[in-house]
Amino acid sequence: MSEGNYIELWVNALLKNIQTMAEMEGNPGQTVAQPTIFVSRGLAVIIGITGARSGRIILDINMETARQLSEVFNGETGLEEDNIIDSMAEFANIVSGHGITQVNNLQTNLALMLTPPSVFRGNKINITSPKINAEVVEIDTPAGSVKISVGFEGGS
Amino acid sequence: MDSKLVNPFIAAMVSVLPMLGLTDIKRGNVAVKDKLTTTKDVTVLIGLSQDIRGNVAYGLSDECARNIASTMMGGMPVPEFDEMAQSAISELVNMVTANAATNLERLGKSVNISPPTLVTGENITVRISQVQTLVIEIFTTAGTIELNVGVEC
Repeated sequence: MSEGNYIELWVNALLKNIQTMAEMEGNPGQTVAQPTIFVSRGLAVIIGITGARSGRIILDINMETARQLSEVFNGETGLEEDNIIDSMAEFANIVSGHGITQVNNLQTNLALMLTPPSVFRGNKINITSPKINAEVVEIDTPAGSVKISVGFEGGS
Repeated sequence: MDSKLVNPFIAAMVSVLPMLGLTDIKRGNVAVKDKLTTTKDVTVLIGLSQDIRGNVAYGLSDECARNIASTMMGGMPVPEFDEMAQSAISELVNMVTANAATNLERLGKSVNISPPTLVTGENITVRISQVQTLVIEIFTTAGTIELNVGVEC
């Protein structure tokens, strides 16, 4: 039996929360296998998954998209980079939380948990997750593109 | 952040690194940071959940990472921080963190660790915790590893 990444559940969580929190419609692209190196656009939130299966989620955006989303989430403009990083971490946390709840409801034996988010901000960021098989979906929003990658150890 | 939570990680470094061929393990400076701006070329991140929640990030220079990978692979030259070297460093971090988790269990804390994620880049700002991060320098014969612990009960 192949073990999937359930990425569609996280994509749904992202679409739902972008709608609720920013009143924006997201348009998801195709699900593709993630190459060995995940190239960040400038701001990457990484959240670990533990439990019966372990893995990680990456939510990735460029700074301009992060700024626009953060401004809508916070209801104010002129945010400092620190606030933007915090907002994106929180958004990724919320989306991941919704996603993991759906996975656990679907597969009650997994009892998956999330680790707190880490945020990496910089240039030429390359992210590698050895032994992880991941899939990526790019979601287009009015604020720009948001990429989500979900992968577990082993699996398809 | 309780410094008692950090000692299991330092102890894990001291105990695991020699098994991989690294010697003269010494603790250097300790600093507390709210936000991390790392000048390290390579960062390996592992998340923790359950009784202890947070993240641990191991920072190394490209040269140190290649030296360690070479030591782990029996002295084989590592001219580039390629996939094999990345895999070796990720495995080292996994072993150290798993050992730290075992140490924490002895304190009565149950800890699950996520798989390692390796990040490289330039001018990187890293935030691994909402609370303070403790940054500990660990010297080895292969170079300095920066242990960043941002965890809480």
